[in-house]
Order: sequence, then structure tokens, then C-alpha cells
Amino acid sequence: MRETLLNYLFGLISRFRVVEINLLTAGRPEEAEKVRQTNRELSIYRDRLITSKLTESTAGLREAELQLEAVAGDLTEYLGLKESATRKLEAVLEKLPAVLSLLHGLTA
Amino acid sequence: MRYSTGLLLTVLTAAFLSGCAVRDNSEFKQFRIQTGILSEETASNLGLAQMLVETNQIETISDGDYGLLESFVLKRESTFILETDSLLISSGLNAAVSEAGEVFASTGVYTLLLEELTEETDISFKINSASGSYAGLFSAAVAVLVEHGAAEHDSEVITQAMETASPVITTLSEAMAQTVSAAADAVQAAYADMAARRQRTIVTEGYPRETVEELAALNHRVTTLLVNLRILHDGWLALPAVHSELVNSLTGNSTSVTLIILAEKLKAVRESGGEQ
Repeated sequence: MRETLLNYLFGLISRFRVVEINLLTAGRPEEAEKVRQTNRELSIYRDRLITSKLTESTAGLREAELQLEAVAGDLTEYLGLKESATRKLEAVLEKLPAVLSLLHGLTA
Repeated sequence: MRYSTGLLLTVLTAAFLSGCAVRDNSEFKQFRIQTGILSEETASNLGLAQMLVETNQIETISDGDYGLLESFVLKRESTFILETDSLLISSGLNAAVSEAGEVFASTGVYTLLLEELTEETDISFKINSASGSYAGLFSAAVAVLVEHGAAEHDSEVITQAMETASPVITTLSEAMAQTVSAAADAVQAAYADMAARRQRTIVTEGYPRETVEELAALNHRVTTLLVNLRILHDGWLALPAVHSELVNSLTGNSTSVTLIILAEKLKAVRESGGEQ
């Protein structure tokens, strides 16, 4: 609905602009000025519609950002768990060669 | 050489069931790089849109356009706050661009986490082949992994998180696409005003060459910007599909990779460790 209205306004403003230019070329500046005033009003409505579209998209972005942060928080926690598990495992594996040579020695 | 039979059976079964599945996280790396590029390009084009809108506003003031001058009067909101009139496109665009920046940052964090979590760990490659003889030590190692859920639930945790994130990614891409589309509208509106101003000058001052060239250059700049915004718009809308593909690639490879790698190592050690 808003898109249709916006397209219509853009079209209207551009047609009025052509009229204004034609009036100026035909040497009728006062009428051209009246058309310009009309166009100014239309531009304000056009800008209002665009601003409302921006406000809506900004709200959508904010919502998505918060939810994504929550998911990222969970993943960060999991990454932490995984890293501490990896470190523990590495500690165990580091000791293996020493333990093994000791055992070799004992069973030799 | 003896292995704990139960453990060996489990890991070898896992290995045989899934073949030699080694995780390749290059798709996740690509996802991170590409969303990064998309964010950067969007930020820079939104910046260009902002500059155009601001130029139009400055020209409007010097043109003496009454109606729009009004919107430059700062409204006093309270003792400590001055607020610009919200009819102004540029304050809406400013807010959208700054929020988009936040979104780019969180998307960056999310994709980075995915890349790190899907990277193959080289835990198993640290296993000394001579140590294959001692099953008890292996059990301890695997038990540590299982205790922290890193072995059995590896892909599950990530898959679940990504499935939770899927609708968020859709909301995000739709909102970004709408922001880009609104920025394109703002660019067209600014162009309409700026072109009208120049056309008026051209007609009333008998086609001055400079102004005609200026108008042509402006037209070229705006056309390029609109094409780029269009490409970005379509790029953001394609993001949810790419994200789903990644989820599928993860669930298709759901047996724990770490266990599989360990199993392969055990097998290799058993074959080579006969001389122990």
C-alpha cells in the first residue's frame, strides 16, 4: 500500500515538474511558482512516507540484532566449554609419553 | 596389545558407519567472508545515500524552500534535549544506518563463532602412536570429551543454535532489505529535488553549460548508487537460503567428528603398533 502510494507520488511530482518547466519556458513565472508550491507539499508527504519506512526497518533491525546476540551468547558459552575440554584433553595427552616410557621401563 | 573391547567396538562402529568423515568448515568460512563483504558494501552505499540526502537538504536551505526550512527548526523536547523534526528523511536514515552498523557487528560475531566451532580440532592428532597400547589412557581422554558434551553432542549443539537463529536471520535480512530499499527511495527523493532545482536554473538562465553537465553527472552518480543498492537488496534476501544450506550440511554430518578421528587413529595405531 505504502509502496503504491510512494510510486504514485513520485510520478505525480515528476509530471508537475514537467508542467513547471513548460510554464517557465512559456514565460509564465507566477503560474510556474504555484506549481512549484504544490510540488513542495507533495514532496513533504513523500518524505514522510519514506521516513516511516525507515523507522519500521530500523525497528526490525533492532529486534533481529537482540535475538542474534542471544544466540551468539549461547554459542560463545559452548565454545568456552569446548575449549576447556580441549585443554584438559591436551593436558592428559601431554603426560602420555612420560607415563608410557615409565610403564615400558616397568614392564621391560 | 589390548584395547577396552567396548570402547573399540563403539569407535570402530562409528568409523565404519560414517566412513572417513572429516569435517571441512570451508563453507562456514565462506559464509563469514561473504556476510562481511555484504555488510561492508551496504555500509558504504548507505553512507553515499546519506551524503546525497544531506547535500539536498543544504541546497534546500540555500534555495529558501520554506516548508522544508521549517523542519530544520530544532524542537525543544525537555530541559536537556533538542530534537530535530522527525519529518526529515535524514534523521530516519541516520537512525537506520547506525542500527545497521549494530546488526553488521552481531552478524560478524555470529558467523565467526560458527567458523570456530566447526573447525576440525586436532586433538586426536596429538596422540602419540606408541601410546596405542594403553587403552585405559584413551578411555580417560575420550571420557573428558564426553563429560563436557564435546564428543557426542558436538554437531547437535551447533545445529540447534543455528536452527534457533534461522528465523532471526530471515527477520534480519528482510529488515536489511527494507532499509536498503528505503535508502533507495531517499536517494530518488533527493535526486527529484536536486534535478528539479537544476532544471529550473537551466530553463531560466538559458541552458548554462556548467549546470547541464552537473545535472548529467548527478544523474550518473544516482543511477550507479541505485544499481548497487538493488544488488545489495537482493544479496540480503538471499542470506536465509545460504544459512539453511549450512544447517543442512551440519546435520548431514552429524556423527561426532572428534570420535571418528580418534577411532581412525586407534585403527592406525593398532595396525602399526604390532611391534610394541
